[in-house]
Amino acid sequence: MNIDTPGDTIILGTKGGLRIPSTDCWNGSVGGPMKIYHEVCGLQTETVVPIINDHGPSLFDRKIRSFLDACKNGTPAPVPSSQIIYNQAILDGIAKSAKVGREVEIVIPEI
Amino acid sequence: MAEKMDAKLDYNQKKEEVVVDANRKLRIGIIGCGWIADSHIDSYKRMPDVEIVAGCDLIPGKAAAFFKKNGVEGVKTDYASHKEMLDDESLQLDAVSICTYNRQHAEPAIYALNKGVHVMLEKPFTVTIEEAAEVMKAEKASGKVLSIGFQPRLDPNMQMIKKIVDSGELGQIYYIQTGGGRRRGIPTPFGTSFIEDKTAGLGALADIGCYSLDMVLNAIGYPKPLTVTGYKSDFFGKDPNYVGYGAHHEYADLFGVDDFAAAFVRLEGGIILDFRIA
Repeated sequence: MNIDTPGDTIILGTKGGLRIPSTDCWNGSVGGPMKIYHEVCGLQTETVVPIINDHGPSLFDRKIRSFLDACKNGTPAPVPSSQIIYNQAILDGIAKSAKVGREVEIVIPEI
Repeated sequence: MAEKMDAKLDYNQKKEEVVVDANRKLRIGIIGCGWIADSHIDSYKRMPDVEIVAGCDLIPGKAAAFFKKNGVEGVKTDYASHKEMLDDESLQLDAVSICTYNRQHAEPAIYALNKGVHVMLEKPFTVTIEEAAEVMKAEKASGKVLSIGFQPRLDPNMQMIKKIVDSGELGQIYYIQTGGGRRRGIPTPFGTSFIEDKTAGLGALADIGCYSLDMVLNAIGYPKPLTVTGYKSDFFGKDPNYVGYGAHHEYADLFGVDDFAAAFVRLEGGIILDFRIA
């Protein structure tokens, strides 16, 4: 693309908004300290959320560790397919809508 | 003064120590010994309760070379396919990492689950929703663990996004804008598996778009998507002079996926998701 970033991630709510500084690929952590835009005693203000550094193992190590623990302990998958099916449905829907050139209904197959 | 500001923006938190029972080892196989498999094997090597016992790849000899490069010995690799490896009951496999290209995600996952093997499946889940549903049916029938490889879920800052939403600090969520992208980031590190339709199926949309989607959808509790208006384009991938191709101008003819996608998604609960990825 011919731009540096398509923009920060913003989550808007009725009481506050969250700005998450952009990064080219969200495969790790956030791109910078986040900001919550909200009112405090009637005053519009912003709260900076500091970057957390827990000096722990790499994210990949944590990913593999959490998977192994689920296998050994019989606990649910750390990133379950019951959630990611909705992620996949959006990707699939975008592809289908792009092909037909109009809005499409997203249909999740029966499991 | 600048140092004080930096200190306020950096919060140090001690991570809890995890105790692992190394006496109970899991026997692991790796399906697909390409780029991302390096990260899997690096992590497995650091786990005290893992024994890497097998690996396979579609390209003959690639699995053996992979384990040799990574200094892991005693691994069986003489398999022509993932089926042969999973059929080898002498391995007593507990789990596999599936690190194949996108169009080879569903079938190996289904086969492994049907064999009673836990699966760590790299993202994106699959290429189509129909494939994803078939994998989930196999998961349900097997009772085994299927986890999709979204490592940002384990990052404390990413987890903070969900904590902020869950706290009610933002109130009722009604609109999200997300995405990301690389100015010139079409991945061709080891050939064309990311850019050909027969291997990748989807381009930036799935390869990195899935991460943006997971970050925000996880934060708001993964509501069901209802409708979408989507767009995809390939202006850069189809350009033989694309700077990332170097001398491989022929890649432009092979490019069969997207290098940009955008969408407007309606989610359950009246939430709008405005998405773009490159």
